[in-house]
Amino acid sequence: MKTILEIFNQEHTYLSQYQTCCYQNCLRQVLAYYGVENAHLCINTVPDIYFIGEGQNYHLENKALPLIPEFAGCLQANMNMPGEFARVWEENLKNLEKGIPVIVCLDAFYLPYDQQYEKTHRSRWAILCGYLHQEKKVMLIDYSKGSSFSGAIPFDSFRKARESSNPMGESMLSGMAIYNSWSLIKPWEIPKLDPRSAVKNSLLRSLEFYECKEERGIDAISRVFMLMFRQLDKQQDSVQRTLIYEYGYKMIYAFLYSYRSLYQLYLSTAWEVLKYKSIKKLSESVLTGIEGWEKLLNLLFKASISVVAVTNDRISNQLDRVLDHEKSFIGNTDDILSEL
Amino acid sequence: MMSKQKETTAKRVIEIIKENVELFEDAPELTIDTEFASLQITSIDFIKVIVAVEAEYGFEIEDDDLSYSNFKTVSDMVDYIVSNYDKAGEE
Repeated sequence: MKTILEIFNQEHTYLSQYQTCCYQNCLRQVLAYYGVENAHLCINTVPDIYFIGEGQNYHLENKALPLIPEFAGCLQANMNMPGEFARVWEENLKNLEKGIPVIVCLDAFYLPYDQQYEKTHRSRWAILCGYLHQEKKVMLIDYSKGSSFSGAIPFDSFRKARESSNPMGESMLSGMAIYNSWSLIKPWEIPKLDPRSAVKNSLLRSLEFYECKEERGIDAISRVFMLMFRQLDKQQDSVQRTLIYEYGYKMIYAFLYSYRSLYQLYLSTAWEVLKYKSIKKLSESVLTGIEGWEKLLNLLFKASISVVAVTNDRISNQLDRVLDHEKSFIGNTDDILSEL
Repeated sequence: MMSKQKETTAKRVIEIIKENVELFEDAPELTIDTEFASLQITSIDFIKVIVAVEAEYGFEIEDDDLSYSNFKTVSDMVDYIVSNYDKAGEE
């Protein structure tokens, strides 16, 4: 007996902007499978960043939903269920039998096709789209730069990848338990996408990032860096200093660099659909901003591994430059909103 | 024709890349003409190479040049090193 969904045979696309947002990439592919045109416009590409903590214990949290609010109702997300593999698998199989692809979290350490197989623990999301009962193999579509895969893997590897605690290791994507997390898009609850309204609402949300509310958006980022520099000024231990820089790197990568890449893709898709020159202008400006975030990341990473000191002034100056550039998006965004 | 200095530097830079980057199995052969993009290396790998180059040649690469979009090929990096190594020697 075989259960293989049609999505497995469809042409799939890897877009580099989704490099660290493989969950959103799966959502996009499944929405497209259900016939949503320009599905990227359904992805929430606007981060909603908060400062959390006090003293030396602080971090940034992104509270943005993965889909735009208009589509939030069609997403069913089930996170962090240790010890429940059998129950979850049974439920997932039922979904497959109903023709519903399941988005599953996996630990790349157990995926035979992955470059990091049996080397590094790292979470990733893929689409479960079939089960070969006799062969005991699971059909997956897993989009990744350099190692995209669509095919079958042994059930036992799948089980290990699903049950993993994903222990902290070298990878930025390690340390967050997999524990059978899964999601699906409820096809009967997918609303009709109105590109104009989706873009307008996304742009309005993007402006909240710059509102000067303490502990949120752009202010949250400035505050975290201020605390990081204060810690670094007092910290002489090279191992501890490395950890602080690595932490800064991870935050900027996850919440700014990755999200700005998705946002730029959002704007270029919006430009293709709506054809407003003001959208193209903002898209180009966001692209320049991404280069700025990349420079900041490079400096942070260099500071974390180099014996030659990268001074905090250089990092701070680059942060100021990129945040100033970000503020220029406000005027561009207002221009688009006045046209929409 | 490539100068002796460039040839020696290129040889060492290729070694440095191999020491610092885990290349894909199907990555192209690494030569002076190889494009960094074809190696599919991450920006983290690239910075590892930069830091190793700085340690090897004793000068620091400008912050604005810390991106492999500034170095299309291995040859571009070698030229940068040779030029800056010469400058460092003049100072």
